Amino acid sequence: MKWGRILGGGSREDALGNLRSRIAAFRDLLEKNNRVLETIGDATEKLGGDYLFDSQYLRSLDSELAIAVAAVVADLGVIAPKRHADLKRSFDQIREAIRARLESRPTPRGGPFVLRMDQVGSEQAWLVGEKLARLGEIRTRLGVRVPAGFVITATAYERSFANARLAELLARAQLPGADLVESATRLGEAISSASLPSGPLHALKRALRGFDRRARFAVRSSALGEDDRLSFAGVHRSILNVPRNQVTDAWVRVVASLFDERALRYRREHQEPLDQAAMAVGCLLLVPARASGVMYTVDPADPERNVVLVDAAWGLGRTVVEGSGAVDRFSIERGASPRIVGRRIGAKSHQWVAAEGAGLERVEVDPEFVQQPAVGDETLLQLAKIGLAIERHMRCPQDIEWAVDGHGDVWILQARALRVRPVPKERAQRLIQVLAEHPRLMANRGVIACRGIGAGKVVVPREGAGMESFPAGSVLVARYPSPRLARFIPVASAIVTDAGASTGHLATLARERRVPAIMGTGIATEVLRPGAEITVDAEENVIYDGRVPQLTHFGLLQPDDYCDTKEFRVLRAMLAHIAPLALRDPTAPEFTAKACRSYHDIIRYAHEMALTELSNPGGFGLGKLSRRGEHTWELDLEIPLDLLVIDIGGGVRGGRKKRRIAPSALTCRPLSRVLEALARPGVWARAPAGMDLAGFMASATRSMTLTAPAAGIPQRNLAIVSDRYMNLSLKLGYHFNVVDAYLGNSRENSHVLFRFVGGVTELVRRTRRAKLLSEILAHYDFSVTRSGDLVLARLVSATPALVEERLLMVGRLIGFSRQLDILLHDDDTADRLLADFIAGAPQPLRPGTET
Amino acid sequence: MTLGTRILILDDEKIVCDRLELMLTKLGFEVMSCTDSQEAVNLLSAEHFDILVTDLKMPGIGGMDVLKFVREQRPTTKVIVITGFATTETAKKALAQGAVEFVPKPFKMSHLRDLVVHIAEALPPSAGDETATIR
Repeated sequence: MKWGRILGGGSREDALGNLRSRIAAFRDLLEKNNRVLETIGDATEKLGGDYLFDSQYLRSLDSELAIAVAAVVADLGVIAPKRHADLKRSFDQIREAIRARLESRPTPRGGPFVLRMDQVGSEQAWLVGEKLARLGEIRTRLGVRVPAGFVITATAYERSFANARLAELLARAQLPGADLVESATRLGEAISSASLPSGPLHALKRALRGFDRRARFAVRSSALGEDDRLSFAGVHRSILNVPRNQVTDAWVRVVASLFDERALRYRREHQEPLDQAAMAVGCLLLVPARASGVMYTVDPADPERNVVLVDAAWGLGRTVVEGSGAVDRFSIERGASPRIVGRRIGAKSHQWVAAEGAGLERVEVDPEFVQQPAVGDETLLQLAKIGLAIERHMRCPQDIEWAVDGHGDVWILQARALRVRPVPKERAQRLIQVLAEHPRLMANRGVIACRGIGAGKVVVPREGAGMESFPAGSVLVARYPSPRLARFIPVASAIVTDAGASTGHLATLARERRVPAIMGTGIATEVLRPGAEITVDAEENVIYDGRVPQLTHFGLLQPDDYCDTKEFRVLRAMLAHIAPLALRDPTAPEFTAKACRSYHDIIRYAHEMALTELSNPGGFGLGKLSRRGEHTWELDLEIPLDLLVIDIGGGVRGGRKKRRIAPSALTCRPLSRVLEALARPGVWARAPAGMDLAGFMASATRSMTLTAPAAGIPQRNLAIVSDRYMNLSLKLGYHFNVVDAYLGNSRENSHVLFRFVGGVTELVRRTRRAKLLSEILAHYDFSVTRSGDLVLARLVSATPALVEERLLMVGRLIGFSRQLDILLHDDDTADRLLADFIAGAPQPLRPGTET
Repeated sequence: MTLGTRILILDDEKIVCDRLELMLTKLGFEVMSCTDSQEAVNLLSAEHFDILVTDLKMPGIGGMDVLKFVREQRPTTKVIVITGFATTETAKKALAQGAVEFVPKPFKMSHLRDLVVHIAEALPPSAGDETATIR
């Protein structure tokens, strides 16, 4: 015996031990894989706000996942030693990135130096800052008019300015008692004297080339973190009316305002670490404004008044923003059809306009217009509608800068959360009385997938319905949370479904967009009539008939703004390295250990590689095990299968001294099932199909090298067994068949793998057979991949009962498939054989044969 | 009784206090919260609360000691324990110390809401002192 040499261990027992540990590693991998998937699902669900978690949860999430994923990586190392070394490196990198998020440490950003505004949405906040991300979001999602332009990203900032000298100056400025005036001067010098690297400069020049030579830009700050937790209102600089050839200079000046004295003081007051500061800069076409101003969608002085406030002045917005002159003040009643309820016209004697060369100048207003309203009623109502749409989308009151150009078109220049004081407690008490009297359509049905309050008209989109069928602000009601509904989510005010859970795809999207959602109510489409107005309280899980303005207003003024808490932001950031799955297609060249970017990728990769290893003939070194030794028996069967059984633990009844055993001595359930099916009458064909019997039988058991066997392919039919495990390698006729199965005690640890390749006929017929096998296996719940005459099929996460049942089918299929390629003259035959097998025929019937 | 039921929330994690306070206030409860257990003990000594929702593991005075204090000084106050370090052992200990419910973190907001409402509804109308009457 050469066990030692065969398996690389010392003694024969070592060799068997080695095999056992590889199989144990596979079991562990499957179990951990499922556990990680479950944990990811749980964690994603927590973003919906219906769970309360704290920083302790985040720490245990990190360690729990790290332990499980590390085990998966280690398991693969046992199953396929040294072949996936890159996986450990990918794991380490991902783990480090997650820890950095957990500890709120900065991580290398990456990403482009310049992004066009039409490429920007809220998901780019990490690159373009909250302010510009929001502007891009309302442009693309709401179709609101926003100036064209581009963003010089935080990555460009880091590449250009974040050097050792800056870090040193920042560290000094951070020290308690540091002189902020002096620090600001030095930091300003460091930034303006930095030599700009070619990468960002080229990207900037390329972006500018897309604009006319005479274009004038508004160059606006968008610091990272700005508008997120802290408003930074007016802290950083914006430069208006910048000619194309001065944009680079303006960029540097705006970046320098990141550390001017005012900014340093602000950061110190709010205990914001300096070394995490970064600045993206927006270069947007300057709107030649006839009038501009600011709009508050709620009156901050009296939040419970149901009005939108608009301040307006002639020319550019500086008059209103800086409060440097008299303005008009309008109040517009909120609601589905806004109404102007108050106006006070200021004596607007001066206005800011774009100067001839660059910059702004303050000029006198034509006396005729001084007392005229800067905006007409129609424009005001249009403004209010836009403001309310943005508020609904952003789910909190808004502070909006706007402009109206010479054609009367309204432009939105900036939108950010308006901070209002919380609602007094008595008000909350009154709300309860209002709600108690309001008719309810539904209560406590289904699960909350995303907390929040939304109201609107019910729309139940039909199959294939376009966006035009779904007015913005409608409540999306559907039977199933189908992914095709995803496009309505950005404009929906709430989502209610009959079926579905809080972990589905639609629920995840709802959370990303913060759309209040209740899933799986069972009765939504019955109870909620299309066109009816309803109010969805996805905090208390109640749906009210009609609009309840008190409730929506309360939700607006006192939002459960869990999304903005540190814990949620950290969880979101951690999940970005945990949940996304990029490695989807195992046949793609990118399906590599190096390409793994998330834990999900890692476990997907490891799972795939382990399965491949198991279903490879000769995988696990099984091929070389086929010589007889201890724990090895020949199996006495009715059919000429010539099967050698190697027991790795409890697969054969103890105390068998003989070299041959009967099937009754097997205690391996999976193998018993397969043999049971093979032994049934007619399953193992005695008659050849178009070949003579002797020839066929000879081919069935002879060792052969027809389809270029890989190294280590078993020299004979072989079954490695334990009580619950089986790895069966067969060569029958001219094809190879591997079946690997485990019968665990739950669906998490039970599986069947089926691999089939080769044949005696030309490739067309072999391929036809592979296709037929694929269809059969798919019919029996396997997931199947096929390429040419190779079939790989898997049944994972199946109940043990189902696995046993499928093993009987597999036994039948082994018999059924032996001569298939010879019979498969054409595709019609294949269709008929598929039907035959499913109907339970033990053997493929040839045309004209009676049963 | 729900309206006017007085609830104190104690957890060293601010997010827990803030979110529970918001949710329970909206339901009509009178809610106070603190992240410091000494401050909570001071409050409990000075005022009557119908329900205390407390964490166990906190810097300074731990949750078990707060429980003991309530049991001795404020026997009518119902205590719900919430903790991220939930074991059968701690649960038993907390319940033995007089807690009426034990909720491992993270938990569903609606689960805690139902517990609080359930306990509040079962409170005798004149539990504690005059601060706990129906308004």
